[in-house]
Amino acid sequence: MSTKTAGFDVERWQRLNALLEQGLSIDAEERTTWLDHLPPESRDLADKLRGMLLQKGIETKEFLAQPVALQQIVQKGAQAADAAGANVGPYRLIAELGSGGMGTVWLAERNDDTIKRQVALKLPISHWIPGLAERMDRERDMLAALEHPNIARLYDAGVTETGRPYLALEYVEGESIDSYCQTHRLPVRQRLELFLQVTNAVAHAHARLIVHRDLKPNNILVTKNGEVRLLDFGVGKLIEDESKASNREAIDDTPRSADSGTANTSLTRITGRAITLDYASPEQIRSERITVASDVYSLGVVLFELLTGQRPYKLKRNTAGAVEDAIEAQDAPAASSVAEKPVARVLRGDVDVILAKAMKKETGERYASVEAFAADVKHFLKGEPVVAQRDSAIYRARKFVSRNIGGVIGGVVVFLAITAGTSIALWQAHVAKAETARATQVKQFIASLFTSAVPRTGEGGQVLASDLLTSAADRIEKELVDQPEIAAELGSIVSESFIKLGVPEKSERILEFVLSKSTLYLEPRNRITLSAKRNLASVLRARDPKRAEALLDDLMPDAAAMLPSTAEDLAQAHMQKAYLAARRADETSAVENIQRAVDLAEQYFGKESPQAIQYLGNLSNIYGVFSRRAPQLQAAATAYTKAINTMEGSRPNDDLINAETMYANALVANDRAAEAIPLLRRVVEDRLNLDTLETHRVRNARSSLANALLTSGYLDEGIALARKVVADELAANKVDSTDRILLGNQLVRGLVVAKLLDDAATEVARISGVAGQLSELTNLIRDVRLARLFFLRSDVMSAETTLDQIADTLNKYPAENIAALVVRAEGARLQNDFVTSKVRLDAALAALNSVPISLLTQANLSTEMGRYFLSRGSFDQAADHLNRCRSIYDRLQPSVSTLAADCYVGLAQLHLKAKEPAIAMRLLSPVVDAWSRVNPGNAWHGEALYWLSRTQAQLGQTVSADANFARAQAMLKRSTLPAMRELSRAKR
Amino acid sequence: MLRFEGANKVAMPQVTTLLQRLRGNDRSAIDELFTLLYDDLRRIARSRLAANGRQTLLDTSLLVHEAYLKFVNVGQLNLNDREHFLAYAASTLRSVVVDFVRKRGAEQRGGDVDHVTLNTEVAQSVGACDDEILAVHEALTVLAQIDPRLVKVVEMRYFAGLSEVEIAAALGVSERTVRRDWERSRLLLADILST
Repeated sequence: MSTKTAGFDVERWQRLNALLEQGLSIDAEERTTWLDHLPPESRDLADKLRGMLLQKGIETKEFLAQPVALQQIVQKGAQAADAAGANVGPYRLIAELGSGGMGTVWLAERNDDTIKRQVALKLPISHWIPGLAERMDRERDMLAALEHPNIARLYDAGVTETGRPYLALEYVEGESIDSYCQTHRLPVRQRLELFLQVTNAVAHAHARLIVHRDLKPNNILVTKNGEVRLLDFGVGKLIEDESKASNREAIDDTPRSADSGTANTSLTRITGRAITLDYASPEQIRSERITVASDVYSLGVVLFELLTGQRPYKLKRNTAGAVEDAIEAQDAPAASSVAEKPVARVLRGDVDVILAKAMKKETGERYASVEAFAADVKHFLKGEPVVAQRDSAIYRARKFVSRNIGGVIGGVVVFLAITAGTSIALWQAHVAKAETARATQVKQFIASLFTSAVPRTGEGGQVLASDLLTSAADRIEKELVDQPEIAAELGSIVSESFIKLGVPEKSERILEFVLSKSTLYLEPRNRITLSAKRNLASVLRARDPKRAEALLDDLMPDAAAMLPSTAEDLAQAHMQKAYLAARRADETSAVENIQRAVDLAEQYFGKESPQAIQYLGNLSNIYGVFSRRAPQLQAAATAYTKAINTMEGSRPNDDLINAETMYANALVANDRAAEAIPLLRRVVEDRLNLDTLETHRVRNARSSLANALLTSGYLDEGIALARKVVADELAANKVDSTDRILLGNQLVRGLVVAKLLDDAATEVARISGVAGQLSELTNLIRDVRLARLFFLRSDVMSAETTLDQIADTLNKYPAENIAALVVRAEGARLQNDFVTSKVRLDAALAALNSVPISLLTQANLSTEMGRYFLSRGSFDQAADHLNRCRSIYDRLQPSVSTLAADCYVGLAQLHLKAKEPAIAMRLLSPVVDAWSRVNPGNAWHGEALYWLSRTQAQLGQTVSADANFARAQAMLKRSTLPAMRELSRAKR
Repeated sequence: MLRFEGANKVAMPQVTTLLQRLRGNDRSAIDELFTLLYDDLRRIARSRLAANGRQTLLDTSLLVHEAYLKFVNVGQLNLNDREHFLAYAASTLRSVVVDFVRKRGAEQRGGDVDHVTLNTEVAQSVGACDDEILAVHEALTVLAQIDPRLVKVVEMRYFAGLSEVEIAAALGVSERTVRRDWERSRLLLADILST
């Protein structure tokens, strides 16, 4: 086939192609004539063309008629493709977890009912190896004895009757350590702490003479609780070739000669698992003896990557040889030289040296054990000298000084420490003195903060408060190591200040620090620990809800025992807990906790206290999260009444703004958005007056207003405002944020209603890569909206796939499920697929009985029902539904917007059928106006115009009718939606 | 989820950026996009087939759409680039399919044993058979010299199972043109193969 061109030259085919193009473009019945009158230079192709054009319908009808389809095939022999339900040895496969060059991993359970437990069954690709079964048995016993909380158990290993090896490992749900660090944006300290869990596990195995041999991030998982689990201990060895393995025992391998043959085989094996090579030690590359030092090396590479986000050896993985050379010959760069700036500062010095020592080429120069490696990491964390550092007096003195600057103010002491090397004695003497000088020191410290403050981000030489606080936090950690009580106290003041300043995220580090000190050095029940826990919980709420909740549970008994002085702490803790419960959709706990906060506030601060009002607002908000619309409005109304009673005179006032916002939001949720608009306008105004700057709170206020505007059908203003808020957020926050997504979602909502589909698509793309912390429901609503966007763009496949992917979640939220069914019905209608549309609508109706849905969803449902019956010619039923949606829209919207277009256009068609063009006119002209305002020229505009022209024709206004008909055709033709295209072809 | 090697986490370039570079005739973008899509399509194919058991015939259009959704969901692809994306995905899918078919052929002749494999095997009268796929693939290299646009149409229609509407949008021509192009492609391919 490849030589086809030889027999029939390309030039001839090109001529044939051109003629074919011509021939196909003319009507079938005229082709014979065309063929008979071919120009002379084309006559040589006449017969061929005749055959193609006249017989094509017969001979080539089946040719390529079916597109390619893929099918998994069954392998011959023992290694058949596995399928769920199949048995492998004593295991039954449940679902495939993953696959790669080395084999597949299945979720499986024992099929002999001995133990009901799910395992990860690893099925390595392996040719049949003599003696494999015996070896697997032998090693299995040793590895199965490896019990450690941070090591995934090996339950079983063996070979099936057909000679197929398998490994049953503990099934761990977790994320690989590198991606865990990234997704949680862990600071260096926490990365190191996580890494120490890894070293614990490896050290445990080493003590039992088991080397891992294949340490890499993919083998180190972190569970949801932040616990490390090592996978595949000794597994690399288990599945190795017998002929090699026989020479190597777990730890005390005899050295192997690096003869080329062996090295090649080994490399081939390693390169088969391309990623692994990056973590392999030089001796592994050379197929030399593997010892604990090899694991130390691999751990060094892992830690390097965790801290810098990069691997030490950067090369294009062109050849195995290149990697081999790099690992053997190149020295790894200093971690601080490749890390990003803020991290690099932390790494420079000690961490660089620790990593270099772990990754030495010569095994003898590395840490002698994983424990020694871990010990140095701990030294660093405590600010103590690390063993790996040069053993110099200067280094130690610098370390000492940096730990003691808070107290050691005189230069003389520093000088002495460096020159005399008597640091320890001096340090002890200093600590004794510190006790008595405590009060003075606090004063001095605070004073020094101001005198030493250097402006970094402030303009014109002014020091910003947050700069001051940041440097204070740094210095408290570094300089007050020996005065934990003072450090805790000052730290808590700094953290509170961060929070008051509106940058709570900056307080995290100092809070962790305060907590570490206060729990150790202060009495068990104290305000500092209490508020540190509460504040830390608040900071961690989004990123680590588990830990946040644990902190709150932890502090509540103490706070309750210390009432009444801790009433505020306790109420706040209950409020935070309520939101955390809401996030995991635990309605009972959420409502209980927030109600408890209200009760506490009313009891200790008074029924109309700002606290009571605030928590009532939160109560309303929580009800809103669970779509309990009536209690949401009731709680908000109570809060708002109290707020007006006590605070109306003191506008602009934070608490009043909050109560007003909650009330307005509750009004919107209860289909009274129009009433909310004036309230929200005032909220925005007050907020601007109060904050003076465009803060995130201003953006949130505007966003609430935009929401009310969009719901009431004021699309132009609503969309403009939503665009502004998104732009402001982008300008203010370079970092991706949850706000970014929420505000973007809102904008998309407006754009979809206005059928500004390209803009909506652009915005979706802009927010879809953003990592945020959103509730399941918010994500669900977003996905349903995305599906609708796909439908409106005639991309049915993507729409259906999107909805399929969220099917399980949808079942949990009946109201959203109905909304999604209506979206599906609309999508099908636009494809002229009325059967499917009806199926979806019936499903929505069936689900309707038990679920309260919003008026807007009811209106959408009625619209689709009406449009369906209209298309089937059942005009009476259509009238019922369309009149219903019309009355809902009239109630929701002060003036007609494009939100109501589908309903109004359907109803107008009914009136046209009934020869009532005047009524149809009244329905259509506001819709056409609305489209020309918001998004002129789109297909829906065309649809409305088309019916308007029909109406005008019925009224005898032929000139307008003709003009509008032509405009409508132009708009409809551009659409990819079959329903719109069909209308574009409709005759006058 | 338990992870397993093969989960490549190298930061991927923005698909949309690549598409833009392509429009600017940047040849290196083609290779990058190919690598990106190739791995992805293979992975999706594997997991789809694994999830559905081995009786399933996998409609290839599902693969490209799923790849498209995935890139959209992770923010690497603009919704507006859908048609453009589908066109390149179809071209990549051609390689994926052909590689599968060749691999299968090699295995039948006693080549390497891969544990799980994908194939384009026909279940009676559904889909194309291996020989046809390879033949069409080779004939397309001839067709590329005659009329490159037709190759795109064949890739989208035959290898990726896309609809006429989608192909029309991707190529910026009318559906009528797509139908005629497809007709012409079939006639020319049949002719090339019978020569």
